[in-house]
Amino acid sequence: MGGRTEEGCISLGTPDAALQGGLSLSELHELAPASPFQHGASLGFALALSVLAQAHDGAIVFVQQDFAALEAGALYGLGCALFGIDPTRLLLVRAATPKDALWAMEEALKTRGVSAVIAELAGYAEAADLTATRRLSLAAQKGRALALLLRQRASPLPSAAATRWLLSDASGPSDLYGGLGRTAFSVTLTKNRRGPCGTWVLQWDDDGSRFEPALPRVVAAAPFDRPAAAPIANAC
Amino acid sequence: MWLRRLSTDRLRRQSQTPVDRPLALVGAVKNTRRLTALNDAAARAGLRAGMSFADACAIHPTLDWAEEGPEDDARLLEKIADWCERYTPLVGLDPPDGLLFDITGAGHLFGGEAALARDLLTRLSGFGFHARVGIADTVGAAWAVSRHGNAVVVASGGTGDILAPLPVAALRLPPETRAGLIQLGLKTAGDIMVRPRAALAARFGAGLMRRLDQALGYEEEPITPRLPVPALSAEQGFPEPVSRDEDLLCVVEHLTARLCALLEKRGEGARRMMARFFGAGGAVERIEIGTSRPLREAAHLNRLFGDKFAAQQWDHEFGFDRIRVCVLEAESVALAQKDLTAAEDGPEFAQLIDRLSARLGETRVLKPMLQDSHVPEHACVTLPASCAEEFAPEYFPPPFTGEVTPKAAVGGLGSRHDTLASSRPVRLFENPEPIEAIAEIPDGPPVKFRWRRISHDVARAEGPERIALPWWRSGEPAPTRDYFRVETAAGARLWLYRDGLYSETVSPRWFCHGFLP
Repeated sequence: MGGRTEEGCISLGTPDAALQGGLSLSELHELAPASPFQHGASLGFALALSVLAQAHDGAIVFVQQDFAALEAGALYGLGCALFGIDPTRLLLVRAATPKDALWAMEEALKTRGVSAVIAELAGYAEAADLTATRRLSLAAQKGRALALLLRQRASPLPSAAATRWLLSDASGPSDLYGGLGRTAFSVTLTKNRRGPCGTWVLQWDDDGSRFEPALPRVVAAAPFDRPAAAPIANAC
Repeated sequence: MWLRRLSTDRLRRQSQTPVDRPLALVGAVKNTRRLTALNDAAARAGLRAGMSFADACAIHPTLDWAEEGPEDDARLLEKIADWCERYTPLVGLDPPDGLLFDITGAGHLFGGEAALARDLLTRLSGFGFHARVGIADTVGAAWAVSRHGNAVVVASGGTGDILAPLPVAALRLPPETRAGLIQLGLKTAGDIMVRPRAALAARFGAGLMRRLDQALGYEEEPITPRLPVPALSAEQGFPEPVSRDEDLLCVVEHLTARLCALLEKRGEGARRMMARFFGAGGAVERIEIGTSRPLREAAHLNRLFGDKFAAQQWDHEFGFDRIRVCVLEAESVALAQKDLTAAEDGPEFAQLIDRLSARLGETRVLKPMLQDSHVPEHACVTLPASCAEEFAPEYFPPPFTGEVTPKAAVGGLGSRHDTLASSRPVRLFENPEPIEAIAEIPDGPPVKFRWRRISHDVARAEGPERIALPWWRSGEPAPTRDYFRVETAAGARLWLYRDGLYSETVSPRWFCHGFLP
């Protein structure tokens, strides 16, 4: 599996054009929820990206500051099943301070056999300033792992990250039984070094482990084999 | 070793008063205030331990006194024992005021046993302790010599001759036996040795003969070490204290390298190691590291020590004059030949776990483990990554034998767990957060709820998924939970539950348990 392309990028589907080929590995990317109640979307999107970046059964490391876990909850191993992540390939690190969290992320990025590192810091994550994010992007370059920094609030501070994303759950169509339907994210690219910004709705295909553009509603297929408005009498 | 004025030395060290002022400690003995310990000056003034406090005040009206503190004494004794590990790794406590050392084979490192004793006494008196040392073949004889004898070192084989003139108290006997013996006119250990054993044993019990045999070496008496004796250890002493961090680490590196060579010879790897730094000022610091698998790569072990060392904040203005590195736990390592084709990510990832555990603590580096439970918070637990592999087989649910879904083939965990897994949240609150919800009775989904002071309208909901808690475990009726997957009008997806059915409780409460992706 894995959505790695030849050039060391992972394919997200429609946003690939703006990203010039996909989200590049070996660079730092920042994610934040679009509103305070969208923590599910931010972590879900991060996990989806990690799965796409996973190569050779590499490990996924999730570093979380203690306070961030109080605010938004800790990662739940069973929930990862939706993204096809084997919980035994996950390593959870709890850091008491933002400094520890950034250190752990940097160490994990430098390690061979780690394919993605997600670090979540509480609040605006002021500790992840220009210097800290620069260090992380350098570590990501060396390690060729996907580096994702989750802020719990979108920060206006400058950062060395290659891209910045705002995430929220997109309300997709209900399933056949009136349930919530498939997981979909509304992603907004607010900073992009390589091209334009934009907003997309991406639906997660949990069977194929990939993103696909979400259709607004389920529509009937265009009738190619019969006239559009066939009279009822003829049909009988 | 006998610290004969331990309690008063403790107070003197704390208050820095002159040594020549009489000082006594007072405690309640059988409802009377009596002196329990005193210093040399007080003894010269005619006071005795066990004297009542009123008598003591009459003899010496300006006596300095303080309440006794047996706990403080015990703590101090522990500290001194820590410090004494510089001489031998096998140190035992002999409460209330003694320490036992096994210095077999350690004497020559200090230039002989007598020189070791001299060094020990000089250093201790420098710290302000009055101590006496006895070195002998047996614990009993050493004890007797340190308390009642004149010689310091009893030559091997000469135990009987040295013990004979000592009083019976030197045999570590209970007070009643001692009094009985003196009443019979048996005043020295030698008097007992020459008497027929059977008669004495009949009168005073087997305890007397046992003590005598232990002192003479006819019966074994092991020393119980305070700390587990390490499998391997290497140490380095310095003539002058060292205090620069880089130098200390450099020495640790050398010692670790020596240990690794020894480990390699034994075909083992270290699981737990400890470095001890003996301070010139008497403080003893220690660093312990653990590894997730048996290791004998010096470079990696040194990085672990370095990480841990960097996190320490010691007050070592006097520096350290002895460093010891020891292997506390070792396991055998199967030599594995490197595979030419396989990706070599195993060792590096294990090293990451070790390094993170060393700096952040083992309980902060975790691996999720699935369990055979339907209660959400128990279905997936986290275990310290450094020991997760040892526990894994117990925790894992029995393998799923049914049809393998396409997702499992892709690499997911469908083969291991139930199909409900994908309806689970991606984040779970450790403590579910209470919410106020309006819902249709008895088991409709919430229509509106208030969480974190914000009111949310529910746009869509899925449920209920009914989960009964394991009532058979606690024996008390546990409320049944009804879980709902909810999407709010603002678009957030949450996992809510009602704690209890309406048939179980009058007004069940609602909770938010996590975020759905």
